[in-house]
Amino acid sequence: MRFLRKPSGLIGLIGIACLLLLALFANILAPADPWAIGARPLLAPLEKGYIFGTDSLGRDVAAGVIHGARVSVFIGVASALATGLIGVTMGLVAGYAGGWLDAALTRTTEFFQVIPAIVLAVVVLSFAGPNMITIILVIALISWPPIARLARAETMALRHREFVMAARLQGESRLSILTGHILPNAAPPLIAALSLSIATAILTESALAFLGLGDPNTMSWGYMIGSGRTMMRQAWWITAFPGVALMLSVLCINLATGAYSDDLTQRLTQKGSQ
Amino acid sequence: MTNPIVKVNNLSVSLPGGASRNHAVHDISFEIFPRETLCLVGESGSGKSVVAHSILGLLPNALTITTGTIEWQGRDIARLEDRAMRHLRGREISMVFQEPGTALNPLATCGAQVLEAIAMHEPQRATKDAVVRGLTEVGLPDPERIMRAYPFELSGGQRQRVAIAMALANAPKMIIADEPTTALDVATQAKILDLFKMTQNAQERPALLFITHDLAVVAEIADKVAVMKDGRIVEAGLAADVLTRPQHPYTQALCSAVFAPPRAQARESTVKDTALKLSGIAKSYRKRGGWNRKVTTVAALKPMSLSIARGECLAVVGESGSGKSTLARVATGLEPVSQGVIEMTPKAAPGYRIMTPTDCARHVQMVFQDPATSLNPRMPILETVTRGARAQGMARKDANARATELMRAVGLEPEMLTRYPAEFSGGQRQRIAIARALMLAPEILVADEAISALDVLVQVQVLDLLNTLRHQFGLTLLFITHDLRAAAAIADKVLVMQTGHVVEYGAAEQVFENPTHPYTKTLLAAVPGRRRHAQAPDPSVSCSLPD
Repeated sequence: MRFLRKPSGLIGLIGIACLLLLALFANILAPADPWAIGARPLLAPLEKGYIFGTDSLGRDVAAGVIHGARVSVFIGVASALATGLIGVTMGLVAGYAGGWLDAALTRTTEFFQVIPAIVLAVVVLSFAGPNMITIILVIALISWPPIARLARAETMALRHREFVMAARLQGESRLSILTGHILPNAAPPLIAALSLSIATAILTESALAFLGLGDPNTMSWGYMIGSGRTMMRQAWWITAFPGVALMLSVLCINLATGAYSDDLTQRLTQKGSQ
Repeated sequence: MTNPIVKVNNLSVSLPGGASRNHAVHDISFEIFPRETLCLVGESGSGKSVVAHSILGLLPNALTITTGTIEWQGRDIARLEDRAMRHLRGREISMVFQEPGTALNPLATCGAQVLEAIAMHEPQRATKDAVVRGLTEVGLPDPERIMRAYPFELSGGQRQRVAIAMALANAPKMIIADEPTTALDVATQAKILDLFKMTQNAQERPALLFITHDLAVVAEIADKVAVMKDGRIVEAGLAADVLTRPQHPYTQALCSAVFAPPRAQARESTVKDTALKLSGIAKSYRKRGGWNRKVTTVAALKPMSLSIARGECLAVVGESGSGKSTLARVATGLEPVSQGVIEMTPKAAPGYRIMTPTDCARHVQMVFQDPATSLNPRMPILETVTRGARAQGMARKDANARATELMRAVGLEPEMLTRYPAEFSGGQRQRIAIARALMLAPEILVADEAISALDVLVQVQVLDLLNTLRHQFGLTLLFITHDLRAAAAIADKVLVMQTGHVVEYGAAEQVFENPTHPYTKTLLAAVPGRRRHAQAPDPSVSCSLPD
């Protein structure tokens, strides 16, 4: 936890903690249903006790922002996990196997990379129908290639190391070598990359919701921005508050992961120079 | 009496908190007179490089000079600011680094780099002629070609010559050479040492601060020597005195470890059955062609046949690129042979032929060169040692018991099994690697340069350990090394390899006493330290090798 000594790491982590608290205690902080119509439409912030005002249907923007944090955290973490599962598996197998299997998997990775991500997501979601599960899977589908490439590169660097050869000589199985020797040593950069992909996933979900492809039953920041965009001139607060929440969350995640990976590289290079 | 060119007084450099000791170097004093060669000797971590770096102001930020002065021609430069220091660097004091492959810029031609070294200080002298002269001086053939060559086009020895040419470019008053021959082959090392000696014989020769871990190298070139241990100078004096009559116990241990000449004792040959038989094996690698390049094959190992008797120790000797490591890799089944057959005879089932990796794991194990990389840094030792045995179906309890037993056998405490590799020294790590190799009770142990990454005294200990274990467990040992002294200390038979060929094979005492092939003679003649005592090698032979 040395990266906490850097201001960027500390600020990032405090921000992430706030986001988690919002998500965790959303029901206590804003007991009302964010979809409920509670007051006159288009109340300005602080009017009648609505600190962020109300939207065009009279729903509480503050409640939306608070409950939106829950959606963002869930989508971010779940799709980062799914991304990691696909990407790391593909990368480990490709990097360790080499030969035609590597070539096939790498071409597949490149195939996904050349298709514009958001277009692919829109197409898949239009067919599959937007709900929480499909959205998470689609985000994983468009964000695993960089993780796979990183895992592949790490694996290729590690597989000729002497401890891996020693494990081979001892007759360990490929699975045992991959999970016991290569994955633990490749983990630090992968963790850094995956935690960054949480931020990307939150952004992607918002973008999809903005385009009307969000889960219709969940109040997310992207949905709020999307539905409020036509009223931007009359009621700036409908889009501004979820927008600021989105920006701050992504910024804090980036700050924290940046500080963490800086710390990591520093530690690794120090180790190398000894 | 002239004044010393550099005088180091009570120099102490502190380490950051949390290190194994407070000072990188503690209370160091020495002086070097013009045209004199001082060798700083010590094992890794003894602080010898820190001394060199503090003279040139190259210390990393974490290290600071706490007390003491460094007088350069009477002026203290220990705390000189960078701008003034730049004036000294390269012009008055220059440096030659250990690894010529990384000390040169890979993206610039050698000529450009030498030219830059001159232009930095004397722009008016920076001409092509000066560069050619510089490259000729360090004995590079065809300097015009070398000038236009990039570092990767040259051999290690040639690169080091270019680095030395850069160091000599401005006729400095002193050169600091930090292990300049350690990364090189034996024969190349001898030539680079000759080059240093030659520059030391020149009229306007610079003073030389030569840093090395190898006392034999000291014997070759030093006027004076200072022996360092744990950041202190434990013994200093004229090289001849220190080497022949070492006073400090540490120096005595070093001397006795090094100056055993490569002379094997005749060992009784009890007739044994064959443990490993290689028939006509060869290995070639395919170099992938690009879109405009053809696929080429490189023969790393030319067809060879060999049989090793049970319980025998065969040393495979050669320089890098001689194919000796390839031999290790095919003999252990890490890589398939391109042609030929490898057969082994387990005690249980005679006439067996190695087929599967499982068979290899059961009967052939390997100890790797660098214990720092051959142990998984993120795995506790117990897991590292027992994992393979459990993969072969041994119960966890039995595996743990055997690991405990083997830890004692390699001279370590069984309690250490819970620790991680980072908590061990290089020698201890190599012992752990040996314990791992013995876990499956192999019949054949392949040691690929297993001691060359270790400090001199540790080398001796690990070599002793290997020798003991060999008899204790009845191992057949394939000992691969570039170090003839180590080969002589352990081997029954010796196989000399050059560019993939076997050039000489025979009983150890035969090969070391009466080498028949000129290459073997060159190798033997190139062993540092030997040349001072023995006759000069036949010049026609020593010149026949490429650099």
